[in-house]
Amino acid sequence: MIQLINLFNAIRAARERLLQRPFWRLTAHFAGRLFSGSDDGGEGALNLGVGAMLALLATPGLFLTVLLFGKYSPTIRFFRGDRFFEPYAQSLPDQYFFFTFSMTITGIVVALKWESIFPGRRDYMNLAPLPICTRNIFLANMVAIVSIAVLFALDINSVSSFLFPLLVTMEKGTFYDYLRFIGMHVTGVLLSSLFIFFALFALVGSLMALLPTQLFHRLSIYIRVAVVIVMLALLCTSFAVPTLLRELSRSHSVLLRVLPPVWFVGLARSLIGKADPQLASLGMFGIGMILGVTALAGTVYLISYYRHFIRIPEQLETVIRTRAPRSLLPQSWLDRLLLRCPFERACYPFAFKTLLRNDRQSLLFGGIAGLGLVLAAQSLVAASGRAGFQGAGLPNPGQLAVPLILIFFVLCALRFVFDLPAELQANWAAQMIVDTEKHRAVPVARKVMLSLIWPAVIVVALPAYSYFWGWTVGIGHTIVLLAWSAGLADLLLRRFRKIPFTCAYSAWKQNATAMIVLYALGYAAFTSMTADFEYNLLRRHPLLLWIMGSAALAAWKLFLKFREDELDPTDLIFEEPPAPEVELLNLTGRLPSS
Amino acid sequence: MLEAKGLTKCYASIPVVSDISFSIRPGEILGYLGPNGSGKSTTVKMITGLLQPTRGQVQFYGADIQADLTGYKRRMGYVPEEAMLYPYLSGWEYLDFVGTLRGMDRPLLLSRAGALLELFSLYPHRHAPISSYSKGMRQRVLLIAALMHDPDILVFDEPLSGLDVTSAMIFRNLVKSLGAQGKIIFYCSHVLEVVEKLCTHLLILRKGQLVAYNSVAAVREMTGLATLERSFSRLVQEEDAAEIANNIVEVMSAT
Repeated sequence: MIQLINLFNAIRAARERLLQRPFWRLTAHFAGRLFSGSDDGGEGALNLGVGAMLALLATPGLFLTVLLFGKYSPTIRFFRGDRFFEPYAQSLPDQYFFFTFSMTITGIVVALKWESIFPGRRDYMNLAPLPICTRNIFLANMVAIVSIAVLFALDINSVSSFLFPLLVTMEKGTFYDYLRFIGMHVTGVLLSSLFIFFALFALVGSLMALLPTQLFHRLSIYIRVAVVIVMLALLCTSFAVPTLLRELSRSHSVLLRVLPPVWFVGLARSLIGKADPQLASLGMFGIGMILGVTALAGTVYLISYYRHFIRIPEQLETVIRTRAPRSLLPQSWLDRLLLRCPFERACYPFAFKTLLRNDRQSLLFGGIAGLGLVLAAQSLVAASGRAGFQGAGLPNPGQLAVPLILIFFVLCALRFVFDLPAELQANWAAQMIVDTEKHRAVPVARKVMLSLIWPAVIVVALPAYSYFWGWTVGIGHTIVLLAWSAGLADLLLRRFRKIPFTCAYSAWKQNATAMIVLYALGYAAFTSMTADFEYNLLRRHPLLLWIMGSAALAAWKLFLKFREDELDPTDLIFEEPPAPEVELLNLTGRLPSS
Repeated sequence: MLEAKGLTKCYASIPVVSDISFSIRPGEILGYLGPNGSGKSTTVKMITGLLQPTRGQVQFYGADIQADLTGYKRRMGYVPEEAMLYPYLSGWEYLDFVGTLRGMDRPLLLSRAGALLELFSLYPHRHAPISSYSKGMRQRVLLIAALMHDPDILVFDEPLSGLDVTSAMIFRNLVKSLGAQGKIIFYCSHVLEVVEKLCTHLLILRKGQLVAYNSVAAVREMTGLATLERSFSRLVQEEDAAEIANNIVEVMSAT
């Protein structure tokens, strides 16, 4: 025990000594920065500590491995009557999933921490006046991000790297086989994560090097959202690709061969001699690709040093924007058609601009809506694969559900991000000006939500459904989509009494589990049940859909008429009250005296 | 001695600062004045080595600072205009970080950081994250970071920004004492009264051009006006301040 304590103390002392050297101190600083928020988010910011973030990243791997226990356990298989089981062959889909999962998490973390990957303005202002060579600043950052990339890759799979090989080899393998499987699995997940990390790094660097700085900053958020969506789509390939991999030698699918997880599955399985020649050759291709993106990442990093970092002081001297932003509709039209009082005229554009320009809000919105896009795409592919696009027939429930899935995710994402404060320190302006007793928080939030949904429904869904299944179906489905989205928006905005993005502390933190269950049930009801209901109506007569949708829309308008005649009775809030430390059961049923 | 010789900085061939020359001897405090956009911050960045001049040189005891920029920065303390600190570090962590990067001896770093935090009334808050600091507290952290290694040259860019009256008074006396100790001080500010009281010399910029450079008394004498404020107005302002103020009031009450 004493020896162990001495060892810890020696490690600690060595670390302290290392951190007293400027270069390593700088490296540690850059590494630590990736775990912290880079702005003054205050209490509302989503900043996690090192331990919390590593634990959070490792948790899904643990759960996934535990869930696989049923598949590999000899006892459970015995009771299932599953006697002919080849663990190595059966592990292919799981391995594909683990590799894809590593890539997805790494990709999303890079998208979230995009701004911290390259040294920025704050770094320049703090570090450039110090007696350190700017090249060393950049080099220290490079060392930090590569170390963090490796740490993330190992952490995401820290549990699965030991448990998953144990599950696979526990029945037929020796201890040597177990160790070999660990080595193979760790190599695979590490290379998968590093590949996606360097690929995204190269993407950021290339954009920084090629685009003008202002344009890069403007496009940055859209690219990050796109990265999140691509990552989620990649994760969703885990459901279909492994089955196809078993027939790789017979398949000529190009798509299958360009999926990065396939390369690394090939590489990993060829390390233990369990890959067919096709898969093994893709593994070699994967090695080439990882070397390629690493070289590209290094090159663009160097270019961005000269192109971006050492020019920061010059950029600080120049004026950022010279022309006024353009609006899709003239302000007077918006005021006449949509925004009927000063509160709405101020808060509606504020909410939209925050949503589009603030990184945290845009990324979260994009991520959740992106998940909806992926699920909608899956539903479309699955439904159309079964039935195809029947010109004269009726759309099946899967095809009808596609816009409903998107609407559900977009509206839920908006409701979720409305609760996240953008810049708490700037709240004073709203607090000073707005009469908290006379507000129209719900109408503003509803208008923001529906202005993202309704135009898309009319411009995309109506022509698309009308083209494939005729105008009767198209119009009927559109009316249903309009009515259902309006209803869902109002349901989500029950008890909402904030200006979007201005309120500190989010209530969802208190009852996150219940909310997730509620949202899952809501998803099923909103998408599958509605689509089934619509399909049944369509089968009887398409005009029934018109009647049902119009009735729902009229009911919603009536509800609004009654509600909007009077202002919201609850006060506008800028700080959510925290949950009470002790909650009384109030068994007597008497109201507490205030 | 710190010397600027014909400093010129152009952005896209448009000069922001044109042919500025001055020198600061040990013990001298040069006040650097000018309206917004006159090129003050650009000069500060060239003096600190953050920006390379398009033409001209900054020399420290006769040698171009670009020849040994790291060595020059080691002897310089800089308080930037904007307190861009790392919000997730505490005040103590930030000073430890900066001191280590400066290569300060650890015991010296810890004792000086502690003592300066105490003197700047930040010691009780040293472990709180900078994100929770007020503007004045952040400014004090910047001041400590600039002074901690006992530099020979001090560059202050609006150092009083956000400081309360007591801290500002301490700071003014501190600058005087540092000057008396033989430090080279470059003081960039909008607060004319402070510059008038503190600085031994004065340089006034207008649209990137030098319009006055002499001792404070000599600048006043040159314009024939009693106060620095009036001299400054005479030298740099194109418009009548009182007239503009009247126009603003008119616009406010217009229907």
